[in-house]
Parts: sequence; structure tokens; C-alpha cells
Amino acid sequence: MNDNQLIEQLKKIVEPYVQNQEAFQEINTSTSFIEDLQINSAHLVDVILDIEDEFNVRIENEEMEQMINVENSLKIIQSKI
Amino acid sequence: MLGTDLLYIDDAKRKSFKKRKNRLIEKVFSASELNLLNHRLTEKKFWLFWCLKETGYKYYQQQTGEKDKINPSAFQIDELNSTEAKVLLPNQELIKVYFKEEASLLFSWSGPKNLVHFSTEQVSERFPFKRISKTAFKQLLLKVKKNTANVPYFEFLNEKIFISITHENHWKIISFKQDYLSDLGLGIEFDKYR
Repeated sequence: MNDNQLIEQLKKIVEPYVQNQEAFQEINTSTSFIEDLQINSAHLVDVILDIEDEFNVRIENEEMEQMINVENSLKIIQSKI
Repeated sequence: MLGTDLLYIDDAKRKSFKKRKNRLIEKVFSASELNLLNHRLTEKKFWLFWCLKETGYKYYQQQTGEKDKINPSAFQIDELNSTEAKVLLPNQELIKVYFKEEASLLFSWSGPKNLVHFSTEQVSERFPFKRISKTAFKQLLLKVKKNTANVPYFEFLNEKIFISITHENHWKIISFKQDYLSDLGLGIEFDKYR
């Protein structure tokens, strides 16, 4: 699966939690979940669990720490699928 | 250093809490916290712990300048009673975090004794917020900056004055030390004091 396909899947996952639709429309590898998409911190763990479910992978807590933006998330997902 | 968090439980609640409870526990809690909870975790209690951890996280970010991370289990609730908790930070500092709760709302804060919290809207009579007009609040917000670690601050005479903002519902609450009001010389007029 290439980065574009992964981003499309990631977009579906984060969409319900996004508060900044403008940033969401322009999502790219450098997009930050907190700063750009303004996802509430209370929902960040939901995003991680949704990723686990969608890609059928397990994200360790040390990996979760780094998943604050699209780029880091893609790297971690790619390493597991 | 200071940190705050405001959480609307109804907004945070999820249909899948029961289904995901064990996985949420793994991601958010340490073993010692599970003992503190006596292994009985309601969704309300989950969000109280989250709120306390988030307050500790903001405090720690101000202290260390560390960039954003998703590491709730690194902020451990060490003691808890009906109004306050002790939170162990990743650098082993133990801080006191105060909180107030209602059926659908949680607010927690940590910092100096003269910390004040401002809100533009009525949140709750029981919560320790001072009302501030939206115009004055906007004047404040215009001066808000964020450093590379995403920590908000005012800049005044080239000095950084750290503040804490809760992002819940469009930055409704902003907190900083009472002393800074006169330093900032903003002439803020409050709608009403509490």
C-alpha cells in the first residue's frame, strides 16, 4: 500500500474527530493531528484504537507517543502491515 | 508552571467505551493506577483520570518544553480524593492537581495559588471561573502565542508569560497568574467576579 492510499484510509479514521475542516481538506504528511486538525486530546487515543482496528495491527505505547502527525503515523503503520 | 483541562463528558463519551475498555486501560493507565481504581473503572472515572493527566501533561510541557506526545500512561495519578489528586510526572516530580466535577463537566488545574481562570460564557456556578467579556477575551487572545512545543504564552516586554488554555469548545477557558493582569496592563473588565 502506498502513502496516498494510506493517507486516504487515515483520513476516514480521523474525520469524525477533526475540528478544522480546512486543514483536513489539505491533509498531507506534515499535517499535525493536534495543531492543524485540532483533534481534541481526549480523542487521540480513539484515533490510535481506530488505526489498530482498521489495519489490524497493535500499536505499542512507545509507538503511540510519536503518532502526533500524519508522517509519523504512516511510518508506524507501514512498518506493521 | 501551570496546567488546566476542561472536559465535557457528554462530548467525550463514546458508544464503544465498554467494548474498548480494556484496550483503553492499556493505553492510558499504569499498573499502580489500576490498583488505585481498585480495578473498577467507570467511564466517568476514566474521564476524571484523563482530565488530571492532561493537566499534568500541560504543566510538564511548560516545564520542559517537550513537544507534543501521546503518552497518557506517563502521567500517573498517585493519590486521589474528592477534590484533588497527586500526579507523578515523567521527571518524577509529584504535583498537586485540583478538580471540580459535575454530572457532565470536569475541570482540573495545577499551578500557583493565585492562579485565575477566565471564561467568556457561563459554564457552571460551581466552577471557579471569572467571567470576562468576549471583546476583552479577544484582546487577550490576540496576544497569545505558542512556542515550538505548542505551549501557549503571552509576550510582555520581551518576557514570556506562560498561560494555560483549554481547547475544549473553542478555547473557552484561559488561566494565568493573577499578578500578570496588572503587568499586562490590558485593563480587563470582568463581567462579574466570583
